[in-house]
Amino acid sequence: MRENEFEKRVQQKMGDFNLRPSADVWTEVERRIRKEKKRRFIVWWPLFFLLAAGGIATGIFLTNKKGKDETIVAGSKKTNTPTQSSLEKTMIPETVNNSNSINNTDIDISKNTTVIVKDNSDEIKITPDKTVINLKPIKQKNATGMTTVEKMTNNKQGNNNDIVTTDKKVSSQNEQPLIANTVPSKKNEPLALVTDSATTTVIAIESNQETPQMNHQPVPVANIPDNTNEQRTKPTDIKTKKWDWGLNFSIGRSSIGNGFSFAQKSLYAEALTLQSPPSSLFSYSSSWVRPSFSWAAGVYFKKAVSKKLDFNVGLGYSFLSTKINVGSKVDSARLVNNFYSRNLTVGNFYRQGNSSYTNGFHFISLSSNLSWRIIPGKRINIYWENELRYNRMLGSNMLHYDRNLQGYYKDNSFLVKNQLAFSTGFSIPVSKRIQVNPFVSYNLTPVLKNSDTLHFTNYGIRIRFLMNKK
Amino acid sequence: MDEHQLVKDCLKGKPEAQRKLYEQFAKTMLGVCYRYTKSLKDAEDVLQDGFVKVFLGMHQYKFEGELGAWIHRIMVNTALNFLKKNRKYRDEMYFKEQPLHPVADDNPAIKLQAKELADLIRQLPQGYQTIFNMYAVEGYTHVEIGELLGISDGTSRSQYARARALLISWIDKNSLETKNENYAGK
Repeated sequence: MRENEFEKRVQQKMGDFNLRPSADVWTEVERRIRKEKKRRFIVWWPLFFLLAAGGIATGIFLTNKKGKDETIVAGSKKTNTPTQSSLEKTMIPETVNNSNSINNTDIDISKNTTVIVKDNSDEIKITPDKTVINLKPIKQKNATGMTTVEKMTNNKQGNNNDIVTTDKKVSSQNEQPLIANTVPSKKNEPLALVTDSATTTVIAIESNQETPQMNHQPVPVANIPDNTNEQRTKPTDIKTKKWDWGLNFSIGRSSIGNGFSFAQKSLYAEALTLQSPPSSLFSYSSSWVRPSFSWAAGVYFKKAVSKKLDFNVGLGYSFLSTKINVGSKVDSARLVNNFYSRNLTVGNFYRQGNSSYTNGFHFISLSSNLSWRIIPGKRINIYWENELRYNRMLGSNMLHYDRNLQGYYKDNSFLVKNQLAFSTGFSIPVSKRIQVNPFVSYNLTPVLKNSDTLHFTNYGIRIRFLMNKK
Repeated sequence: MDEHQLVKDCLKGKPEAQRKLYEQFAKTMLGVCYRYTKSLKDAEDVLQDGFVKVFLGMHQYKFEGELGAWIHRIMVNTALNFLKKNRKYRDEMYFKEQPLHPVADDNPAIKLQAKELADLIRQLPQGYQTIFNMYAVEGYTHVEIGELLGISDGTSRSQYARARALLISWIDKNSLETKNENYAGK
């Protein structure tokens, strides 16, 4: 065709045309590649480290906790507090077995030491002359639930009024370890108090002599009243924290965009495959991609890592969607051959038009979540939630625009099936079992294999129902 | 080393393979970038951006079609993005209806060197230059150009016709001047 001869000549001429770039170009290209790879490394690895560290910390915590609980149960026989090594031990004889406080417990007592044992309601004084005296109740509360050893007296050799706190919890009311430091003190002054907040048991040890003197003689103690039988049957307050579990549901809006954008018109459908964002100058004839409905549901398991930190893992289903406008569906086989879909034969396609079409994406999700109690209060507790989620795409009906087809076709081959998402938000408990959690989520993995810039974004409200909260 | 192996080595991040790939295509691709821009410096900036995209997006190359065509496509897209982002070009990118330049021969022979022809193309107004490159050299259809530039395909057609006529007139003029210089030289 004569009309195209000029174009052919131009193409031929330009096909041969080349220029040698300056050396700086390669230097700069190389520098930017390294920098970008480093940046990607910096972005990704901390997330993995965070996840790994969270897992390890939880594992260590759980292991330690289990170990402690075992020790505490066995603590009716023997406990390993930090003060133990310095203690002189005297076995409480069998005659005190009827006392639930000191049953089978090692206790340090010197010849001139008076031991005061309080068991919930009554207090018993064991004097060096082996008599037992009831005292009025002493109430001690410890907010942390820790066993406290408190020196109450002036001490010639040591510091006065020292407070030593151990992390030993007493396993039950009828199995309480009684350990106290016997340090030299002035006569008739109480030497030490061992308190336990859960059972309000207080042990006061009084020394009658200034000289520190440890005596290994057993102290026969008799007739200690056993009046707490009904309390012994109560479950212990100090127990191993188990995993709580619950259900969560969320609703929100999802979108695909270059950044974290939820504009009504975020992107042209065509831009997804062309990687060329719209502007006032360059725009496309295809439909806008608009944000649409999203929801999720699942089960989660929660474990308190510390007083302020909870760890959650979850499994669930999530649905994200976007909307585009399409025309009528044409049931006719067409060959699609563009940059991303190579020689793909499609059985049907949609023309351009104004009917709304929902691009739906179905995922199964595995999540790990750390929630920090950033505002602790009596009335309002606010948690800051950070979640890393692995999503596996189960299916999608997403349509892509093809310029030659002048319509929309389906090709899931270049959707990224494995997605990693990060979400953050605040969680506010509205009752003992229900938490409300507004969140924003960003998929770190791109939506399409050919695009590094387009990502799923999602925001909404999640409600958590704790099912086995006691 | 064949292209397949070269791409695999680039994917592994081997610097020597990356350098080799760059050297293999850089000169041709600078020619592409040169046609879309007004200065060599801008062309080199586009080339640089384009090659960064090539290396970072290498995993997206599925060994379907020629590697050169894939890189060429990226360079053209990068050049178009550069024109959009750069105000100097964006402000010049208008598509006014100008009178069609009359030409004696609609399909003249091009006796110019490639560089000379490229320089003439670069002297076209920015809108003409872009459309001419996309249609005459890259082979886009007017519908595609219209979609990419946000104009109607009719506008693309008419703008191309004007760009073509203007370029032919310059080629004729250039040929005439060359002829006169030859005569004068004799």
